[in-house]
Amino acid sequence: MANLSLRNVHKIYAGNVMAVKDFNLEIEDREFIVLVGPSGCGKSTTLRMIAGLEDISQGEIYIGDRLVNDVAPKDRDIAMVFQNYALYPHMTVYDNMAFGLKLRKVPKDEIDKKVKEAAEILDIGHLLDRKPRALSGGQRQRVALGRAIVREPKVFLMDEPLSNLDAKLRVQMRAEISKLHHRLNTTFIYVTHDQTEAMTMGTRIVVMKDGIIQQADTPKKLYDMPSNMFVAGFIGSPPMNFIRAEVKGENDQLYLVLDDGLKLALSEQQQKLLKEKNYRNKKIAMGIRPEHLHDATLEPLSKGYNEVKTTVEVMEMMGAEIYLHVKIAGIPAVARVSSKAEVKINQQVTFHFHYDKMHLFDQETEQVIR
Amino acid sequence: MKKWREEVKSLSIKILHEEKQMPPLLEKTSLIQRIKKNKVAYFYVLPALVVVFTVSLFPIAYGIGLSFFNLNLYTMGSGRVKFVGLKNYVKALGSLDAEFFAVLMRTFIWTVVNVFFHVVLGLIIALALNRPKLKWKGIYRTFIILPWAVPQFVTALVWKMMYHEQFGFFNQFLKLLGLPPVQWLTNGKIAFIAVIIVNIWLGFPFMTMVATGALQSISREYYEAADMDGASPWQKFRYITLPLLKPAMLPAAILGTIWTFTNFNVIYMITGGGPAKATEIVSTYQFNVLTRQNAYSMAATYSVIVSIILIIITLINMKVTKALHAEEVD
Amino acid sequence: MVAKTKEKIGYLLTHGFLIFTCLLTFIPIWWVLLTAFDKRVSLVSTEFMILPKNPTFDNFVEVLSHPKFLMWLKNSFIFAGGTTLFALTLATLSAYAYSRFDFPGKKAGLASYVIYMMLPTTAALVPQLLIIKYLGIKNSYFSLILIWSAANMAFAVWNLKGYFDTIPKSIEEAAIIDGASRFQIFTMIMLPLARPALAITAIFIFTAPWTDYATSYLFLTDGSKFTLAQGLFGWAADFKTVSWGVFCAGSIIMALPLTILYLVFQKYIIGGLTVGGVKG
Repeated sequence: MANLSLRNVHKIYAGNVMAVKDFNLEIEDREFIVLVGPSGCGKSTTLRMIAGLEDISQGEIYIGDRLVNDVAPKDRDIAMVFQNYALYPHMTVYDNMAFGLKLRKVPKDEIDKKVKEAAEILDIGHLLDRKPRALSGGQRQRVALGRAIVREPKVFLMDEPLSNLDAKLRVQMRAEISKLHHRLNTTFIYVTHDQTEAMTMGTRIVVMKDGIIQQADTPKKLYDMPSNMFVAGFIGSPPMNFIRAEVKGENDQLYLVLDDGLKLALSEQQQKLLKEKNYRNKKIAMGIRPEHLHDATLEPLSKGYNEVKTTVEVMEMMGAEIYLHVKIAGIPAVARVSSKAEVKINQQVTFHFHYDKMHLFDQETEQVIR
Repeated sequence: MKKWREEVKSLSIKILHEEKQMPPLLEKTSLIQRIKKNKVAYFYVLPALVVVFTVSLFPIAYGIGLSFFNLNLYTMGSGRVKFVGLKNYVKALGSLDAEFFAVLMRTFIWTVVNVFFHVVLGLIIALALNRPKLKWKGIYRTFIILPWAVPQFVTALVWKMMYHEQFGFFNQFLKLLGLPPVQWLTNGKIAFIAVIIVNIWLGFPFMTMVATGALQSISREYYEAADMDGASPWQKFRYITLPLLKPAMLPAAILGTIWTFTNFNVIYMITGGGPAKATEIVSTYQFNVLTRQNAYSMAATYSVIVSIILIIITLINMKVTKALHAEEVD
Repeated sequence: MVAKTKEKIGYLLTHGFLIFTCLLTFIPIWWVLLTAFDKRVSLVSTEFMILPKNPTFDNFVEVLSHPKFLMWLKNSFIFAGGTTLFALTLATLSAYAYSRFDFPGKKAGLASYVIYMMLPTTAALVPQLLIIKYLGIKNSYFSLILIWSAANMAFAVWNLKGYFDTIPKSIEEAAIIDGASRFQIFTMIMLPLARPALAITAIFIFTAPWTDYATSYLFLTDGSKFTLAQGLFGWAADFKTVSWGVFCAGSIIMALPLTILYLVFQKYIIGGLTVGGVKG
């Protein structure tokens, strides 16, 4: 159990490639931190620097109160789960889990106790004599977790541990890892490219892109208040729709005008903000999540709602919901409506959406206007 | 907002700035660091390098040097070893020594004929073995691989016995059919054919195995797609099988060329290069020059010439493999 | 219907062709087996047999009680076994370092092996003789073990490096985090994992001294150090020294272990030859 501190951490590879730029993060004890972002965003590199598998080019990493920059991985009191599990193929499950303890010269009976305990937690007690190749993907995953658990580390590091599992198993293991986190009560740092994993598991999520932290927040805050268009588009599925709009209006009343001339009302707060920041007569990007576009026939217009009429181009039946692919002001957009909606391809559909659900971004900087 | 953008800009400027300053510093420290960090590696690689350098590389360099001297048993004994420049090379390739030139030409014929039959036979047999509904594939394959699995040295000696004029298998067999015996190893022309037969027998199984492996890796979907397009069996072979075999077969064929070109055992064990040097190829010729004539410098000269030829073949090999890789990427 | 019969005939022809090929590959081998397992009164038997008329192990008994043959066998084992152990140890250490360390000079080291494979090794024979004389180890087991080891080093290093490269780095990283030292990773993780490649490389290295005639002929003048290859070559040079049956029995003893190994590991050996190999 420990808190972590990453201060001004940089990673520069040969040829001066910046993989991680000025990474700053304070991680509290027992947090479940998820580093998420597209491939090549520096999330794995960051994790590997914490593990000690990569040198830190610049900056400092503390585990607890100890500066670990020059501490060997084995002395950092961490354990790591790898994407391809990295089980030792020539050892049994038992030996895989016991290896780290044996190297640390832990007494045999104590090793035995710890391995069996961990096996029990993970429900792999019956597999202890098998070799990794005789295990299914899910079982290997558990062994990899077990190998980390027996060490009772201060920090658990996981590098895309679920990406090699099929979709169904992934959902199951997701829940199990969350359970494990509650049970072990230690700090977890988890790397993934899958925003669903990040949202469902993390107590705090760090969204990265091009080696730079885009936003570090709780899942709810990331969803409700994305700080830029990248985070807004990355979190949530299907991703947020972005539509070009111009801020118009005389006197006090501001509103948005889309490319096709449609006018959208703004809340008082939004108007105030746009006025303050001098966005009058400027183009901005309006973001609206697919789930916030409602079918007008199911939810009639009430106060605070905008209305958009468009034509259904593609319908994707998902069961409880339908994804409707449409164009709003000539820009492709998706709406996520209840499957009760009576819509047909090439027919007109009317969407309502609350103006509070609209996210307003600066078109140039892609940052949220606030 | 703008502020953030400026922050990003200043950050990237900072980074750029650092990049400009850092490289020399970074690389210097990293070179020393890399050596320090990987000290152990040198202990790992050194023993092998020491052995190779003292036992092979240094003697090779020395040997190449020898090819510019006139060292042989006679000059060594009388202390008249001296530098002769390119004289040995001129002698080897010029008209003075038509013998070596003839041997070189024979080696080319030997190589081309062998590799041709290896590849063609290997391919035909692999195609036969690859027919989808064929039974007893495993048995056939095991039998066909046998010549490859038996050590070449033993095979060569056994064939020598089979070619024995009086009691050998072949002449006994001919006798059984009421045919006259053949002078397998005493007639120069026949002897050359005889050793080629042995080497073809030895070499085609390797190509069969390479081709079988390559054939098995060709997805059936290509043929199914071709069937849909109405391709004839010949068209399927010509436009699917052959092009897809190329990446595996071409390097194997070049490798086979090198092996055949440098082959020593088959000819030396069976004919020793005879009769009257009629089956001599460069490897045996060089060995005989060394052991029978004790002409050390001359043998080294032949060695260097052969090496240059092999290096050319290897370079072609590298080019071809590169080209094949490039094709795959496309 | 027509298509079916056509296909049937096609398969019949294929079988015919393959049976013919098998006969071609098998007849010489069968002939050796027959000669070795049959007791013939004289060499000059003109009879043709499919199966031995007088099956016997006499030829094997005779060759295995031949004092020279036993000596050659012993020598070959020492040469081939020694070379395998020595070269494999050095090659494994090197290959591991080339595969896993990023040390200055790595590329040069690897490249030197490639260049080495293209150099005229036969040009080295005379200088090698001189070196061995100079070191005073002529006619010793070690002298030839050194020469065969050096000759096979390039192939062995490249082949093993190729295999080490396929072992995922993350397995080592897991061991690092588990607390293993570099040496522990090498002995406890990499070596056990590389067993198949080690076995194949060992077979390759073993084959060279076992079947090499030229090198031992050049470097050995002491008859008590002669190898099986030299011995059998001598017998074959003059078929009057021993009976053909005894010669064939000796050949079988020399060939069988390697033949079985090559058959068992054929897939890996072909893979090693075509992927890792530049030289046979």
